[in-house]
Amino acid sequence: MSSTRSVSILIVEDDEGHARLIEKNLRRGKISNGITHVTDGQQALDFLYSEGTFAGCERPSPLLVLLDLNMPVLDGYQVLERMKSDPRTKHIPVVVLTTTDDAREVARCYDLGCSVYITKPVDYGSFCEAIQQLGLFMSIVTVPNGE
Amino acid sequence: MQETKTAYAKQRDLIRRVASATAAILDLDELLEIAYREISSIFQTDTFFVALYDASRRMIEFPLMIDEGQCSAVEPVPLGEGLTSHVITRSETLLLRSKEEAAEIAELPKLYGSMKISESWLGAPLVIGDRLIGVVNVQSYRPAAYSEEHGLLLTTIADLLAVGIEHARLHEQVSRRAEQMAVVNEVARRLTSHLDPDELLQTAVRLIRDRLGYTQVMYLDVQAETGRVTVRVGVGPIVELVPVGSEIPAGAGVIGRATRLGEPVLVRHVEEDPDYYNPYPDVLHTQSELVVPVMITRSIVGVLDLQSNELSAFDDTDRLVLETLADQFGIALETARLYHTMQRELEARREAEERVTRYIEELTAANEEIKQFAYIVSHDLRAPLVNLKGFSGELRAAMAELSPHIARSLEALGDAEKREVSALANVDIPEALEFIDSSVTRMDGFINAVLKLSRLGRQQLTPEALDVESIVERIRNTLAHQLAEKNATLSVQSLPTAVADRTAMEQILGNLLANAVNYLDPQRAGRIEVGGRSTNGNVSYWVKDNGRGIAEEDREKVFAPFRRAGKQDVTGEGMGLSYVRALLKRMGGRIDFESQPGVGTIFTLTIASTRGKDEAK
Repeated sequence: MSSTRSVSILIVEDDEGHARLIEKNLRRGKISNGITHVTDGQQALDFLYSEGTFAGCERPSPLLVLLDLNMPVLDGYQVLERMKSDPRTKHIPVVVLTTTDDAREVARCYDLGCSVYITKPVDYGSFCEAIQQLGLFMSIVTVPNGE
Repeated sequence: MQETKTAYAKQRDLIRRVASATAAILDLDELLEIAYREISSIFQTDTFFVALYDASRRMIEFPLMIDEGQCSAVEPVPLGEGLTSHVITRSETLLLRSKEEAAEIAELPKLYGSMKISESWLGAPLVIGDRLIGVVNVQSYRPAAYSEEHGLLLTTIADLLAVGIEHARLHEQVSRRAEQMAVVNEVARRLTSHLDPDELLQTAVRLIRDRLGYTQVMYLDVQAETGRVTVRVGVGPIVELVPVGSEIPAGAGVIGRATRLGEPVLVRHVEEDPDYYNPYPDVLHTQSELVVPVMITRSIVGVLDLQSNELSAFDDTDRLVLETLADQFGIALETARLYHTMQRELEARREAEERVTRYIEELTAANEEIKQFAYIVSHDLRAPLVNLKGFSGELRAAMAELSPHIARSLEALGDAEKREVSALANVDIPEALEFIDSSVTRMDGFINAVLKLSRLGRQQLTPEALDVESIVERIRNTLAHQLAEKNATLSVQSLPTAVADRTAMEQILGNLLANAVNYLDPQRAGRIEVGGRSTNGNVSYWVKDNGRGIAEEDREKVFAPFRRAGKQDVTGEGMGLSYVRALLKRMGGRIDFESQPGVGTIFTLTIASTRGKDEAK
């Protein structure tokens, strides 16, 4: 349990509402870890590599990324691709959280190296359950310490 | 005695020399020159001529006429009453010793060059077998210049000469024919290398002029229906007078006659031809003309027209040659025409193909766009729904937390206010949330349906041999509960196998069977039948029910997305038949139904029974 407490969470989500719902449900799932929310892929990369608006801010470690796919500036695929091709970030687990359950997109995300793919169900009950299970998942996996 | 012997020897030598000349010399003019030289070595020849007789035309021509040692050109004359005609008619040697003696037969004509009149006239017939070909003649101003012996000698020489002339003429004919045939060959060969009719005609008339030695050659188009004749191409001075494109009055002139008859017309002397027509008598001095029709499959398409300013410029050989050429013309023109027709057809086909390819590309692009659109719309529409649903859930949760506080607060309120607040908290707000929730759920259902439809359009179809009967059996198992609930029976006949995508087939039959079960009429026991058969290259399956049926006006509606026909008492998205139709379209098949409201419906789907072209993507 001690390790989960130290894991920080980065939510990359352009829909403020979704981000809020995710956060609320994580909290309901007793996840008290630090959560950072950015609204596009570029900001996500800036956060990960301490660049741009996050210049000088050291990336917390260990870290878990909750990534949406459809975003302006840089989309989720691009973020995932960059992360997995960079030795500094390739071990960071990525949970893709998105509205579509299209088989090709799911496959593409797993190909690019995402750890878990979760569809945001419209049914709120299922949504809450999915997020809370994610919390449970986080409590039992060991997130590697960065590099 | 010595003199006689010498004369005899001289005669014998003369005969021998003429004989060897006739055997060796194949050129007519040269042969006649030699004959003149030899004959004049023994005969007095103030005048000498060789006349050749054309029996078919009854004309006498003079290839050699020598008057006091001078050559003169003499126009041909028709067979008549003169002395030459006399020899020709009788085919006998004629010896005249004086003007008086001649006068008994015919008046002696004045000689051409000197304008004198001969006293002595000796003419011997040129005879081959029993055919007379001409006359050889010597004349002298002196009376009695020739004896009977001279007559015999000239007759003998004439016999030899006749053979020589015939040889020379045959030789000339043969070599001319050979030469012409070589030209015909060349023209024909060149014609086949042209596939453009105008280029072909231009080349042809030029070749005919240059290689056959004619001066004016034209090709004219003949329109079979109207008889209109127009100059297409031409070479020679005549083209300046009758330029390309000029029209010749229908049926006029020698061309008109050749067109009418459909055969060659040879006019040796145009002034004697009643049909000859000259639109430019001042400048056009045509004397002879040869017109040969050009036919394609027995109908005239044009004429070759040759004109000359000389009399009798053309003969039967020319006609023969031109006829041969005209045939080649016809073939070449037809080939060129066919080639052009083919080219045009190929061009048209190519354009049509390009058009089709373009349409297909446009359609594919449009299809792709629609798919993309459907996908994006469903995807993007979902995001706000997640919020609607999520935050209405949050509101409900907040309300649940709030309700004990509200209950406590209510104690402090008056009755009227208590009722009002209680109604808001316990009725109005939950009701609003309920409506939001159910609407979002429906909206999500629609979006999922659109997404599914768009996915069907992209689903990879892999045709394989399918045991359709076992597929239906499996579906029957999934429907067993509903069938029992509705007291319905499902009977499956023996079904032919299909070559199709397994998942697609399962979806199609699953939808049809589910519909059959869902829309049974509760008033009667449900009976559902599944059957099928193979027919020439196709395989069909049908699902027959005794359910509520579909009204004729709902025929299209049942296939439209989100549309459901009849009483809306069965839950569903109204997408089933849309999926079925979309899938069958992808598989190159079709679906149709017959129905009678209140009696039942039979849906029939048909697909190709063999593996068709790849329908994937």
